[in-house]
Amino acid sequence: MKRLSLGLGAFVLLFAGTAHAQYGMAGCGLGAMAFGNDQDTLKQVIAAIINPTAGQTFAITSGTSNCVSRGVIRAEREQAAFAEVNFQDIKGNMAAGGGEYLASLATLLGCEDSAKPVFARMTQDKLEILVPSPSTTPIQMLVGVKQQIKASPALAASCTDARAIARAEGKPMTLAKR
Amino acid sequence: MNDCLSRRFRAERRDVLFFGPLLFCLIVGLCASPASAEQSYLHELQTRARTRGLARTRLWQVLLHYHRTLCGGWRSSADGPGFFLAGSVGEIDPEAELMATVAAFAAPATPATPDDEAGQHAQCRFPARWSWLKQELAIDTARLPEQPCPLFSGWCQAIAPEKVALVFSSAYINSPASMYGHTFLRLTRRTGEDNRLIDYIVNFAAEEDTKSGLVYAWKGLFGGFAGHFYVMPYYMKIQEYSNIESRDLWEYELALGQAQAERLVAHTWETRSTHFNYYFATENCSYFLLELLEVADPELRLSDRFHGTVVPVETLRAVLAVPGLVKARTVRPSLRAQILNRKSHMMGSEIKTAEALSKRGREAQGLIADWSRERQARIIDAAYDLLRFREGLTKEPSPEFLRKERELLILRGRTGVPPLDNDAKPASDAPETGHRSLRLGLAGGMMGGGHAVFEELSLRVALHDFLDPSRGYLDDAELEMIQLRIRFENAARRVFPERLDLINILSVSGYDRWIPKTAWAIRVGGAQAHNLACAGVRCSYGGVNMGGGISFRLGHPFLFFLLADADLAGGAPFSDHWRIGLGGFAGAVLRLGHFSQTAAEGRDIYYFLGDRRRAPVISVGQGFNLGPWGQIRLVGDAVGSYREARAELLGYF
Repeated sequence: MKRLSLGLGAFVLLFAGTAHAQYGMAGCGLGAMAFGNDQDTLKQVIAAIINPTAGQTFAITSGTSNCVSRGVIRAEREQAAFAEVNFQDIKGNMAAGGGEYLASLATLLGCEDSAKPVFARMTQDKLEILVPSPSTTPIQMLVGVKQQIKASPALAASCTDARAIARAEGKPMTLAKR
Repeated sequence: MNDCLSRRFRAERRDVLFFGPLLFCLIVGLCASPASAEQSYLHELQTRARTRGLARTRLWQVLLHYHRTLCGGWRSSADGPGFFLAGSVGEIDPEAELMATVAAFAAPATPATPDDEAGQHAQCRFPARWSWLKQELAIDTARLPEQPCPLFSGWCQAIAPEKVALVFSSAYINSPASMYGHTFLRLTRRTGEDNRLIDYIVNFAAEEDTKSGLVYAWKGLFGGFAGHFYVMPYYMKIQEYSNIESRDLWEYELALGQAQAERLVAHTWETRSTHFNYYFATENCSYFLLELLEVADPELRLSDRFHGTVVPVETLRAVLAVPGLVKARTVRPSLRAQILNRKSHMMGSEIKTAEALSKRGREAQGLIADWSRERQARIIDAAYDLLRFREGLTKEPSPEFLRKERELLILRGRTGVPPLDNDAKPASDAPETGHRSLRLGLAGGMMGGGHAVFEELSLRVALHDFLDPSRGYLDDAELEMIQLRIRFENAARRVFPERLDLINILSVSGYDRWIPKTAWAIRVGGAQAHNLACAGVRCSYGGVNMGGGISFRLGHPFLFFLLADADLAGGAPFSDHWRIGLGGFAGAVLRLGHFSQTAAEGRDIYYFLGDRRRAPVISVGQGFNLGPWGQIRLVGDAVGSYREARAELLGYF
């Protein structure tokens, strides 16, 4: 997988993010909330979110404001933020072939409930590709997961950005089935 | 009295302010002018609000956090000025605030920059007030235009609240100060119950702006911190509480509908313009959640039940006491509970293998190569959790951890075994099954060689000792705050304080080879030096004890502990008026079901400074539970050559 690079824009965002720190949540440093202030993870998330090499359609939207606004994660950053904060739990669920974290990740990725077992099975089968090295980042993992979804006809049909967007807009998942 | 005076004064001034222009307007005849069409509609609405008595309705009171003052006036518990559109009068005058709110809603739109929250129109800063008044006053939006509120709508849409659950976080193992617990609200998002992790929560917390312990305590006790409602994803709290702090999370689904959940969220937004002075003991995290629930359903009367200290578990009880309010209870056992549960299902050799895997990663895979896939998966799951618990929950996990983590994950993935059930149990029964926080007691006993008879009255503000009914509490910690026992000696006709504990903490998490914890204790308080042949007030002394050591379990019901102990005390009964010593402190606790607790403790200190007379202490107690509401307790104490025995009747309130 192509390694994510950290652009100048990321630094701009980084500082914009910390300047707009709302309610003790500095920028995207969600991990910071749980694990103390860790600027590296902050950089990582922001870099990945705006980096076009990630090949994401839904996750990439241009924007200069930080991803946490008044405690709420901006919709287009939600997948990244979730992967960032719950990285260990998600990896554990992938290896075990299922679990609550993996199910919620699937929801954020716009998967139908019926597709979740297939999705979980896929992450267990492809674990060595999704987590290629000990230093794999949450965003790299996320990008890998999306590529695997695309590569699998069954998952590509039932895990769609349209559903993810509908969910982010607060619509019930069932309405977004079309 | 000041409140009442200022309120009356301000009410009169308000009347002048309100009727003055009206009068002027009538006399001069300007009212007919078309330029003031909006003005006259505003006056119409204000009059309607006044005649309908909206300022006296419950919803207006809860939206503004008004409470009755001692002399019959009103005062809001919101402390930031931005919350009151009538200025500082709004804090104490519901009607002035209502009039000012209606006026502000009618104000012309101001061009606000997208991220300028404070510069938004009042309708956007106070969406819950707006939505209610729009309906109550049947506001015609052709005459009083509704303003677009993109900031609020976007925020509310992301939270997408549908239902509300009250979440109680149990004590933090080995940190008895957290025994009070913590509460917050989970807002079920319209993504369904299966995705609780990505729900949002509302948490009330103080903005802690100091690192100094003393300043912290001072500000906390006297309201020096500004409290705010914070919104964040539930998974953040789960990482913090469930994984890092080993706290079980109890969720109580509330019978609140979507409209109520939405009003709660809209009101949370309104509080962004203000703060609430945070008092650790009274107006704290749990208290303000009650006020928020009252906004969701104004028929609820929760916050008024608390006049003194607010202990989180008592707020939970208040919620549970409302018929039909709690629909269901679920628990999310902590990572620690899950690990201990996995371990409890393993044989000795499997435990050792899991340890080897978590220590050495792939190098140890030969140990499980011949086992069935299912068994391999079970061991690797345990090894992974153990590795994570020991090395992974840090700011920056080491490269060594990351290597082993990946190796274990790959091994687990290769088994192809689907997720294994983990029927982990929480560390205690549900918090509401425990005894109440306040304890009052009556006791009678005999003391000394002459069998002198005495009676006692006792009071303890909080919370739990080893002899109290153990159900609903962590079984390996004592936490007592402000315990006072007053004794009356019949023969000597003497009344004196027998014992005062300002704070007494004993944390003895049983030692587990996977989760080793040290035991520790601290006590600050006073007692009687009966053993020094004195009596009454002149026999009182005060002191501090601190200790550290280990504890372990023998089966579930037995708990033993052994601590090194330091003792510093001062008082009239000692020669030189003080003593300092070092020694040991040991004890054992036995619990039998929900019915009985037995505890024995011994302490021997070698005093090397001040009064050096030895005073070994032995105390044996037996509590028979009458239920969560009461207990009969028998206690025998020996200090040096002094002896006493007493029987106590305790009630929990």
